Amino acid sequence: MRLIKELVIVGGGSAGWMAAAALLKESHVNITLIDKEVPVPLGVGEATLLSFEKFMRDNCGFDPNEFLAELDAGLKAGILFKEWAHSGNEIWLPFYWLNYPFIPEEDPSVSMVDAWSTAQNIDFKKLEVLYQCSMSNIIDKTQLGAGYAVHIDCIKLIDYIQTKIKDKITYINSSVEQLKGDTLYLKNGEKIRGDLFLDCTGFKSILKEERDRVDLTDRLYVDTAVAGPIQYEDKDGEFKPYTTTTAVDHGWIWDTPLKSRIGTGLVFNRNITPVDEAKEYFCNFWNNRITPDELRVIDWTPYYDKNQWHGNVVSIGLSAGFIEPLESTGLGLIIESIKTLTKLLNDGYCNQYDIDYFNNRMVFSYEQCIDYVNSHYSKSDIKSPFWKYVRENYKMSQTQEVCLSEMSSENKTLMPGGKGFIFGVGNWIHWLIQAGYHLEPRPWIAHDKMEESLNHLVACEDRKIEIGKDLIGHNEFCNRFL
Amino acid sequence: MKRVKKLVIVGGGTAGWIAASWFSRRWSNKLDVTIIDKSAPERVGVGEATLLSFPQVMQNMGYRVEEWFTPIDATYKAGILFPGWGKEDNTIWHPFGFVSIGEENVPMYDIWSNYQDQYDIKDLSPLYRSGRNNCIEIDCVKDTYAYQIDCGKLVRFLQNRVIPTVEYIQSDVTKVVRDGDDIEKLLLEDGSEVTGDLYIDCTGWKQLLIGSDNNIDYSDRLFIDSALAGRVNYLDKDTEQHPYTDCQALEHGWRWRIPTKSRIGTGYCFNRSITDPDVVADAFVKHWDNRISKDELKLLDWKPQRVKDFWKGNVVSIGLSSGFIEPLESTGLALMIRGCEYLEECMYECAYTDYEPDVYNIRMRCNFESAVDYINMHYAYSKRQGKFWDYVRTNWKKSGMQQYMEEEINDPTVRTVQSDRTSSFFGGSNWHAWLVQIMDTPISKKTYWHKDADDVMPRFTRYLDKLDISVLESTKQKILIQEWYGQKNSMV
Repeated sequence: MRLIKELVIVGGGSAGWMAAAALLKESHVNITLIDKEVPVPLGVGEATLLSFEKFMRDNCGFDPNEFLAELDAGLKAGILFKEWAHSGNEIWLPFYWLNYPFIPEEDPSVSMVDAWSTAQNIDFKKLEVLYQCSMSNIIDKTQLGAGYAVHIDCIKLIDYIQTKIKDKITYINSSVEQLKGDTLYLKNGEKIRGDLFLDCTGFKSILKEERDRVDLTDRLYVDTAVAGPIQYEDKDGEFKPYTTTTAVDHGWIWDTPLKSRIGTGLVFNRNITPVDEAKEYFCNFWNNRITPDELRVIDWTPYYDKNQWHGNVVSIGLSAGFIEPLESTGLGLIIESIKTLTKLLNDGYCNQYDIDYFNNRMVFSYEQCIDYVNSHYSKSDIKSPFWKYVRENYKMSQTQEVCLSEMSSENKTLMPGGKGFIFGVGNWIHWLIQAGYHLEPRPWIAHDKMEESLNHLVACEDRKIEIGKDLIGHNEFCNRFL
Repeated sequence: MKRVKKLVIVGGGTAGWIAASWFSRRWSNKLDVTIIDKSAPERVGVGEATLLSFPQVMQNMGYRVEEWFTPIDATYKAGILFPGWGKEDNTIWHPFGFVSIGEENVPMYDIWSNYQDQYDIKDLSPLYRSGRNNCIEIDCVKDTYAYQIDCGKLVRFLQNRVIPTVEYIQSDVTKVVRDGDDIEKLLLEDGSEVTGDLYIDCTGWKQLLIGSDNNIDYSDRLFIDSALAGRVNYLDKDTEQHPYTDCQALEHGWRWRIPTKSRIGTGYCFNRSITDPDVVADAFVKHWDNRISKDELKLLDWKPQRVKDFWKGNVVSIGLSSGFIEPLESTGLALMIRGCEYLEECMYECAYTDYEPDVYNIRMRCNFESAVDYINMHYAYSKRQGKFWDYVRTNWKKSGMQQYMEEEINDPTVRTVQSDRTSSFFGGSNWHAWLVQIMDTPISKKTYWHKDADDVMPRFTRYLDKLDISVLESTKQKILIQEWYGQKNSMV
């Protein structure tokens, strides 16, 4: 058992500062944050999940009205996947799901998925939360909170947290030489003693000596991104309240609209596509609104560490692992690990159970995310070397098999979301249905008027947009409220 | 990932019916529950006191307090009184509510450290003085009272409500067919087979499914392994039906006294390798002035232990099959409930991944270990006479947790940690309350809030005044019990 009074965070990226903010609020430790002289944050992640706003508010104690204004935020009602699974396909993944409303009150609820199973010629997306509004760049004010996450600028996030908490922690600007026992030797000659060290130094992971790494190259297919900002040309049309990811020959392209610019990048496999070719392809995709020399190249090897907490070092963020940008798991996993750690440290000491619990919890979280991201590659028909490579090397996860067998039964579909931010069966089934996997009709809900009633729901949604009550354009909303 | 569509529970004691109730009531439309048990269960039923979480747990299974209070013979429980622990003339009060004062949330016990000579800490503790008067502070009934119940009646209560929604097979399991760590099927007396996706072992100390070859022995940290238990009728309800559990240290160990609605549940805990059960029985009968006779006493014996892996293959052990600490502090029933809660979290979508059993095991292990440390602390600093207490003094070792908490308590510059651990049984506030009452030297006077909080002392004074008023305004438990059970009933 070890007392934790002095906590030392190494690395001033989003992981480091978010950890500092949460631990400052929730525990009684003294925090020192050490950042190298010239910080170069990676900042790929600009889309977030629902957990972000809650984390900033509840775990760090920041005021949403204040921080959203500072982070160049735009709203995110979900993710639109274009060209995934098969050509011309569009998949909509919102943050929660609706029940079929036309059920007598005394009966247990029936999910929209089960209702739709008996009327499959209706466009599934149109029955989903916020799809229609979002496609018209409209915000439904009644859904704020439950239905929207945000797109944010990660560099501004770091600035924001820094301004808020810098005075309450010890902040040191120096590179790190090495960690020996409980003492950290800095380049500037200082020696810092700590009871626990957080390694937030990115892929380099400079503090942890022994790394129990799990290589993920057999389950994940991309390892490089070229990324850069794009200025708006038609803001009303381009400032969309959702993330778009488009499958293309070399991989896929993300488009996360922020208030002042669009964050975008191409994700690919550098063994298949040379970086220069990727840059050129990407610039062409955007009609040369960005040039190859404005692009940053980010590469990684998909992995995670099983011993994310080892001895007196806890890895958080990229030093603990990285999957790939799809589904914004990076920031989600950072939040998950900070929340877990904060809870374990709230009484000021830690023991082997805490370490075991943390590591198991994180392995579990990574595995869930990896399987879910992996499922996105399970169907494709793009004829390019990259997608051919994916098809030839694809390994279906056990989780996907279980979900597919659920879909092929006639039973009621159980549709909870995941634990915390992690993806649950509900997320899986929404992806798999729209990717074109067969959903067996559920005979127990079938009735003559099913198609009519579902069409009615779609019509109501159209009508809502026509009337415009409680609705507001995304651009106008952000100008007025953020 | 494995899908769980059918849950098979073996064993129909307290654990079995709680698990059956938990999963069939909460997840009735998601999975099928089968419970296999021979007949009217031979219940161990030591635990009759509950922890604070009990009403919430009942609520989580969909039972309202109006529905269960009278059928299970409930009375109120404001805390536990521990006479004779440490020294013969010492009395310790373990309350359910903890108070902290001012914006800085200074724990009341930290302020009290400055007035150790002036006040008996018990008098400042929530619900103590009213409890000793057999009174209830009505404003606190919802949040800070637990209940003393008849465990046998609880099982019947659950049975009645659960049987219609589960498959109830009245048979012994004659054979467990295994495939590695997994159970393939169970054979029953009539030759039929039962299969399931996940099996819950509620067979008690038999450990029929989880197996008994992988237990971790706790006898180096725990001192009790037997109890003689019985029931005593009330002589004078007005004094004997007190709204707290009374656990008194005695020559051979300790005895509990749990006044439920119709009788007092009582038992004498001891160590059978030190004291002969017959000797304890005589002492116990004498302790009760012959209100209980030797042949009414039931001997319970166990090994203090837990299984190494609570969840192995497709078997989860819940209840005594997963281990047992000792009756002190009512950990048995509460650990069963923990098991159900954690299992539900792991099977969140009626499916679990390969990683889930590890998470479950770590959490349950942490619960057991922290509960063992907490129980072990009760035997600290004992000056009591007798073979049993000599044995305790020779073998007792201070746990790391106790060391840590004592250092916290004795450091004037820090706020004594109060928080609950993520997967632990007793939080900092529980340790704090017990330790300040058992430690044999005066504790340090805390001063840490002086520099940044000037509202603490006036608020402390107001707290003391309010406490006096609450005690004054409290209501006799008898009156509340009459309201629950009716006038006539409570006279009987």
